[in-house]
Amino acid sequence: MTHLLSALGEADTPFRVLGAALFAFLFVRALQTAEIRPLRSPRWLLARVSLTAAAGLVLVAALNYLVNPLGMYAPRIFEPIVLHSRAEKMRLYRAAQPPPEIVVLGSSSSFTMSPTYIRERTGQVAFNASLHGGVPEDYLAFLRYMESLGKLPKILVVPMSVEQVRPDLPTGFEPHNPLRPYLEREPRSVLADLRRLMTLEQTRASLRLLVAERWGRPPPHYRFDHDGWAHFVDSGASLDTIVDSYLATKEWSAGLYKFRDLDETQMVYFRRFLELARDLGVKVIVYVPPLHPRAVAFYERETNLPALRTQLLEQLRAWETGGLIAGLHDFTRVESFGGNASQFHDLAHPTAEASRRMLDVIFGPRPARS
Amino acid sequence: MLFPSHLFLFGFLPVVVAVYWVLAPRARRWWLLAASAVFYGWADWRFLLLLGGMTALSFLATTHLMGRESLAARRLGLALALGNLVILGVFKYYDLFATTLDALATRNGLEPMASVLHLALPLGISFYTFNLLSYSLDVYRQRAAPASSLPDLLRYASFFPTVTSGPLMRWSDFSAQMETDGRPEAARIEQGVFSFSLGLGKKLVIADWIAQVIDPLWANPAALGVWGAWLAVVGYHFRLYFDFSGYCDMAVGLGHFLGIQVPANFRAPYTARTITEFWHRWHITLSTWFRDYLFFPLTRFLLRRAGDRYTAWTRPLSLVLTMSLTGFWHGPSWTYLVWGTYQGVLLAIHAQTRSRRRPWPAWVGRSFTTLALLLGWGLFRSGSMSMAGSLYASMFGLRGWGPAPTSILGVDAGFLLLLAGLFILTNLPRDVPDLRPRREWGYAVALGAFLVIALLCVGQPSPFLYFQF
Repeated sequence: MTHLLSALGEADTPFRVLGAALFAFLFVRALQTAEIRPLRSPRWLLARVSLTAAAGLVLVAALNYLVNPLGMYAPRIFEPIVLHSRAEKMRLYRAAQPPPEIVVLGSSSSFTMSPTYIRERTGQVAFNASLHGGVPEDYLAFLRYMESLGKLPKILVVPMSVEQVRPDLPTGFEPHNPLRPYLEREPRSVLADLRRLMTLEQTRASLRLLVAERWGRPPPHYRFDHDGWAHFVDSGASLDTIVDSYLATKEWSAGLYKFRDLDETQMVYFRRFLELARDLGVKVIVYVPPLHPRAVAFYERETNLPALRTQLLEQLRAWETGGLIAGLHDFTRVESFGGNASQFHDLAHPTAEASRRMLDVIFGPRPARS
Repeated sequence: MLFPSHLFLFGFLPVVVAVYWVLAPRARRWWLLAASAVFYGWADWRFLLLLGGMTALSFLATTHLMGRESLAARRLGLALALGNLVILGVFKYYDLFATTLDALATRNGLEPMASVLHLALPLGISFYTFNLLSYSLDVYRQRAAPASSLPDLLRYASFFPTVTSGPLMRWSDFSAQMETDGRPEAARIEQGVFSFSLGLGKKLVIADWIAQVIDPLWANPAALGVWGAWLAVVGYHFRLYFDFSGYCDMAVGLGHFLGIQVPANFRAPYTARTITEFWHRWHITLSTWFRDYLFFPLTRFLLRRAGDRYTAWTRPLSLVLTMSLTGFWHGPSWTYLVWGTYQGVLLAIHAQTRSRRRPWPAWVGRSFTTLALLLGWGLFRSGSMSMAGSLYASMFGLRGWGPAPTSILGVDAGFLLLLAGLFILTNLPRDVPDLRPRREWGYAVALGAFLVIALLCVGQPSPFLYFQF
């Protein structure tokens, strides 16, 4: 989802080129105005500019409303271009029977935590409720959602990484976020929805959706089973190439960990999530998810990640000491759970095998078979 | 509140302008003051108190002390008015001096001497302080009449089109225009729409596009090769101009909507053939402010003190000192001071040599001026001297050529075309404040379409560069 939106965010060159070309035209033509005696009145020009601008904005708004690329408005002529992991996971959890006893909350980094394997290991029914770009506020919201259904698990397994508590992290970015009512966020504003009808982001998304409808949609990156487990679709590229291309992007390059302090808002959400879990009698096991070893080396060399990780771990340990966390594991390095560099789909998404190894550590040694 | 925000464009602006012209002239002035207070206080009402306090200080100094016959009272008034400069200094520079002092003390094995205050810099404080100072100095020199009431002066200091980032206005120009009771003129509204639309587009369509590409390069200059470093600097060269001049065009346009002529701040600065000419075309209201209130008095003072033997050195020295302070005005960083000194040295060299040689051909002059500016922007944009050093090392090949420009994220054919186009446009002889729209169908549709594209870009998170100054 993050990558899809960021791809959308960067595909704006045609708009900008058109804008710059119009600016050049207006500027150069106006250079010659001084020599020309205007035949028309200023009102003539004002009326036409206003009319063009108003008509343009109405057209754009109508296009965005009808195409509805982000699934924010009533029309459903086309399937929205964005992924809806929150809605899908909520639906799957509501339908899950028997009620799960162990739930993995988290982000896409924990998509491959297999509920089937957890059941094999523990004998308890499990569910993977990890969400695209999941952050602590999503954990709190999803726990409240589970409570509202009367389907609380006994154990929650949650990843907590520095990336999830960075200050500039966009949160709640699934535009049609059904978890929103479970947070104390401001209610959805009609004015804000109207405003978003006239944004470049939405217009680009509309055009991309229409193009996708005409020439075919790209295959999804992953699909979810009924227990919430995600299957990543193999891109065909080598892991090294994928890691290189990630590190070359704006989102994942050295700028990712350049900040000095963890985001206080998300840290508070996490504490509140832990306190609610304690009050509801749900045990929480926290782990710091792994990064590809090349990424770890790069970030440790180029960024503030080591200090930030220490900051995060110190806080988590304090909560563990305070009884809010039942178990804490730092899996940043693959050696910590017996994994290796090949067990990644990309820079930050471990494979199912790596996830199995982490679950082995979390739930203790596998019982010897008789 | 930002100009390029939905709240401003679709709420604040239409309401303020419509009501402004419906009201009687007297009520109109109160309405403008109220609108400016809402605009300025939107982010943090406490800043409004500071603005009000500093304005009241200037009012008190000019009306109660400078109006007296006694020289001592007038000087006391001047000292009081200059108190605003102290307030600016505390908010803007105290922490820089404190951290520098502490660093020096620590290096010499001493305990830190000053505690850092971490004061938030009030929006536009550099601009309205300078407006208030020019008002006070003009009254002191009896070049302008003092404000007849505090609301009049408040209206000047808080005038919402210019309060956050200029252009700087002179009290006499502003007050004279406020006293006229004119009706809205279609020609001025037309000019306002033209200027505001082009300014909005300059900022949102062009400057922000460049920023998207070059900001990641500036994040780590040590990682850049020759291509990347020069791309970062050239991109910044255009970004800074389109960002700030775009803001100023909007301010000029807003002034037209309210019947106030806001002075032009840019007149095709990149066409300058010398650094002196550049400073006549770039951030004009700031350079004229420093010229009138610092350079001229300082030169006169030095001429009086230096004697005949050193007369030749007074002008260059004044230039370097004035430009150093101009640079430092931009922010609490030593890089700005060094950048200002660099500009001052260039101006002094030009001033000393121009009478002794024939003028260069225009293209040679422009090339040298552009090169000098690019080198200066490297310093101006860098957050520290070490960052600037790192950038220059990359620019001059100490880290190799680096990846080709087209392999840098965001640099595609469209972006290169943009840079080429901007190079041509910025070398054309006139700037937006001197242009008039054409009353033709094609032109009207293009202006409307450009406005739509600019409005679609509203809401992207990118503050104006000059808000930090």
